[in-house]
Amino acid sequence: MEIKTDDYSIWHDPESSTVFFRGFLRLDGMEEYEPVMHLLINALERSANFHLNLRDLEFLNSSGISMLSMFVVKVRERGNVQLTLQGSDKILWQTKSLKNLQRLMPSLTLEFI
Amino acid sequence: MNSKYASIPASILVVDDVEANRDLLSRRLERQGYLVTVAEDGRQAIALVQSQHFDLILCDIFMPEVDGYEVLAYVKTDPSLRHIPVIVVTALNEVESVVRCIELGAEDYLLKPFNPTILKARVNACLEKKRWHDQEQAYLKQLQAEQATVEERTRQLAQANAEILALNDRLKAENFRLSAELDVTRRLQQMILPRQSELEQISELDIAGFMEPADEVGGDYYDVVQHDGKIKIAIGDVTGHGLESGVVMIMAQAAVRTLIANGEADPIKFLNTINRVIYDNTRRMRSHKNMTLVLLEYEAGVLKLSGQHEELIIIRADGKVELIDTIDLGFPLGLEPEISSFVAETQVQLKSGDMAVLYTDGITEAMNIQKEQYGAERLYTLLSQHRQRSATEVYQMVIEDVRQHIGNEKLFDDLTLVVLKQK
Repeated sequence: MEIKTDDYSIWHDPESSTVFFRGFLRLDGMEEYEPVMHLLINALERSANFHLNLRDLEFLNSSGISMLSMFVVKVRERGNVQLTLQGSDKILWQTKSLKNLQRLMPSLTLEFI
Repeated sequence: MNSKYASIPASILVVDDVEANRDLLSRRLERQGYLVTVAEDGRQAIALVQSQHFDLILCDIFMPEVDGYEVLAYVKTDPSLRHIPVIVVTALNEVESVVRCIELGAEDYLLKPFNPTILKARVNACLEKKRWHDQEQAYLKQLQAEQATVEERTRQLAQANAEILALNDRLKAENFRLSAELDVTRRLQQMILPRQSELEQISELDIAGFMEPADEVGGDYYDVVQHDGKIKIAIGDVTGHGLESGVVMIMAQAAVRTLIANGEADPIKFLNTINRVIYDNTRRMRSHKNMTLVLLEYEAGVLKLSGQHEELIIIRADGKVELIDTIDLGFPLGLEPEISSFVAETQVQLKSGDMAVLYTDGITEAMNIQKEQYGAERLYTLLSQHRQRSATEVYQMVIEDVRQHIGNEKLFDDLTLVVLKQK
């Protein structure tokens, strides 16, 4: 599973149960984030220990952050998945938003480098 | 085409009621490599041309019952046969009848007894002519087929074109609807902003606010309201763009004003109630919108703030920059039904000449063509440099600087800025 454009790429590595995000993600509204959400949900089906690696995601707009929030709520509702977010404290949007995601799901692990 | 025809021996029908003549002719022709079929009289000849293909007919004129004239007339009046050349065979004393045959459409004539050289020459000439004719017909057929293909393609193209035009009309209508929707949203958003005259009535502070909607209208919001001797300032940003974001922004504005008018002083109750309104209404709208919102309350040099949004920037009179992070003061509104546990309040003292600045991420995230964001640092520096100017001048300079950074790039998000200075 992979979504790739000039601006960003998102791919799933089943070996490490990780979905990687890279680049500038600025889609217009939640509808346009549906394929990304779909990829995340599909990837989630396969593991009890799931990682989102956002370290190279330099930009994510507010609709994208909403999409991540909704995903975290979905993981929380499943109740049986250990979710780890890997972020970078050098990237402005992450320091702020990843903490909100942890508030949505307190059992979520945040790893900043 | 020539080689194709050359490879297949020409097929010749010999019609003569005299067996000796038939034999003589057919032997000569077969020796030259032709396929020969014989008919004993006109009736048989007519039956044969109906069922078999011939390249040439050699036909005697005088035969009992159905004679050569009738055979000739039959062949030359049938559109599917008339292209077959007919050479009439006649005796020397019957030359007048040859003239009649030529008038009826005979290609040539042969006199009995046969001269082998003339026979060969006339048969060859006739067959050559027939070959040219056949070739021409084949080309014509091919051309007609090609023309039919072209016509079919033209028809398909015309149909595709009609479909595209119809689609285009639909798109135009849809675009028109969308742009009308955006115009409405833009007007609603601007309509609801505080007027400059309201801001000027505030005596302790020099306040200026500005919002420039993005090309697709985001959901930025700010408000300044006086209540019970306090000045309430709110700034927020609804996710996404367009009508839905605008509607959520208007709901938030009304909810904030309702709570202020009702004298709600507890920041936890205040924000939790607004969150609930946004949460319930976005679910009813089947929308995934949520929003940031920070509330400020100013009274006698103290600025209290609660709610999660971008940081509050304080530029001290000496140029020092202080940032008040709001992450731990709230939570995005509309994501979760209950946010009480995330809401907190903090406060900051403002002295004369200090400036407080609120903004939405449209400012810091404004990108130029190289995808470089305007950035917070540039904003702090600019604010610090121009801290002695009036609130209105400050916001004008910031907007001007952000515009310069973006250049000709599209404005992706609303630009909102509220500047307040302690007098």
